[in-house]
Amino acid sequence: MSAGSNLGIVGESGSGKSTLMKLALGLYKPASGEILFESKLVDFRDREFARSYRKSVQAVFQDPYSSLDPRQKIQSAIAEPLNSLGISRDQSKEWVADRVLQALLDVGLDESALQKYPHEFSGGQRQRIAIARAVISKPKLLLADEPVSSLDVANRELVIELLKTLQIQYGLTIAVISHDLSVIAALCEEILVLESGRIVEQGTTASVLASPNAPYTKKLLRAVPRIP
Amino acid sequence: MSELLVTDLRVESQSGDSLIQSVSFKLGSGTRLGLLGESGSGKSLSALAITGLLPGNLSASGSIKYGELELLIATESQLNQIRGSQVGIVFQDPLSSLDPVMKIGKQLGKPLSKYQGLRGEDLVAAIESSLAEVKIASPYRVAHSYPHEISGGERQRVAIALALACKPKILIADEITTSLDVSIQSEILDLLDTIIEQRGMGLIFITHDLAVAANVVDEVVIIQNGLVIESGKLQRIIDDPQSDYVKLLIRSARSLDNLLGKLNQGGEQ
Repeated sequence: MSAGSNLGIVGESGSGKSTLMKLALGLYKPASGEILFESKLVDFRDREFARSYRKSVQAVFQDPYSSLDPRQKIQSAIAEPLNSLGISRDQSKEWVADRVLQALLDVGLDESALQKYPHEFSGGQRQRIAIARAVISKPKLLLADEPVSSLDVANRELVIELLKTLQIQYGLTIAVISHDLSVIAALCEEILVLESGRIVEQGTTASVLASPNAPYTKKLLRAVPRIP
Repeated sequence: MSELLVTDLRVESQSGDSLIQSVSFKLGSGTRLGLLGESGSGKSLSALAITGLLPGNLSASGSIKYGELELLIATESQLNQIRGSQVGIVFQDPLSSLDPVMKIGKQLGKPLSKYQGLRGEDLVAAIESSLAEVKIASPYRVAHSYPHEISGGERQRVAIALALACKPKILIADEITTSLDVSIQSEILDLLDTIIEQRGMGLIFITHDLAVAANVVDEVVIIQNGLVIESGKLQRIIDDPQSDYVKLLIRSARSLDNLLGKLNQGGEQ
């Protein structure tokens, strides 16, 4: 991936999309091969590298119900990365509060959310909260695994628009994992198609979707349900 | 099949919350109807009300007539004659509709032996042919497997075979492709289309996705917050949507093609 150019990763369940994301997050170790970030080997045994990498690479998952602690207020859920990544170590409480509020406003929620619990929000709002928590450390790369799949159609559009806005505002590059080609087409300049753990096709989204070469990509495109 | 007529169906919780405010539709012989709406709109509750399977803390009023029988006041034994042999139902998650500790063949054998009186070799043959009807490539292997040993697509095919075992006149399919990949989804939709056609059944297809519904139904009822907001022929609704919600559904169903169009013109990306 190059900075500034979003990458969409598509493929069926079991094709290796989420495994790729877990490798990038250091949740799995590769059997062989390597992952480089800004020309440095991603190696979590190197603690200094790991600390800066975690600030720079954040993730949003499919299910906003399971990614927020039900007993943690939104304020502390969003502030958590500031503490755990050591960003707020020498900062005042006011600085933290400002930063949390700013992240919340950036995702389209307001101050009234701070003292509430996750169950008080809809699915779309929870996904916004998860996004606020992911961007508060001002990452360079956002990994988004099926970020809108569990949302209804109205929220799906809104969250896609939000990601586009944040991309510009925060200078993010986004890797989107999705089985939904329309989400990839809306967000990503580049696309990579996975089948059974192998890349079968990659290139710009426009060219791959307009004239797919791999039989698997053609099959995926054909399978998208359409209205008459 | 007898006609199914739902008139002013209302469903309330014990605390008096209205979950369905008013839903009416008619399923004539051999028609294919889509019930469309978001989660919580009341589309699945409508299906449960038809089969008398609403949770005990919910109450239904209005009318659901199947032929001459009023299902909302039918006795449990009357409902049991409707369930399975008149109205079959398939749910979103096939794992929850299959017994995890019983082999597929045995599960499928139960309704076949009970309703069709099959035994021995005849039963084995009927099990294999019902698995073949839902296009399971290796019926023998699947019949001898537990649900966790087969794929998600195969499980949903088995759930369809189970619902068809008592030869129902109406099939209710509740979000049956939502947990599947697009390519498996398109195979299941093709399968459903073929079976409904061959058996001349009525279909109630419940989904939140207009494009998915468009593959199998001719008529739609669109539900929002427990109220029908639009209904009629699918093509007419797509050509002339009245509400913002239906316009949104259409825009979402066309989003990939629209984006591809833009990308090809070297548009905004």
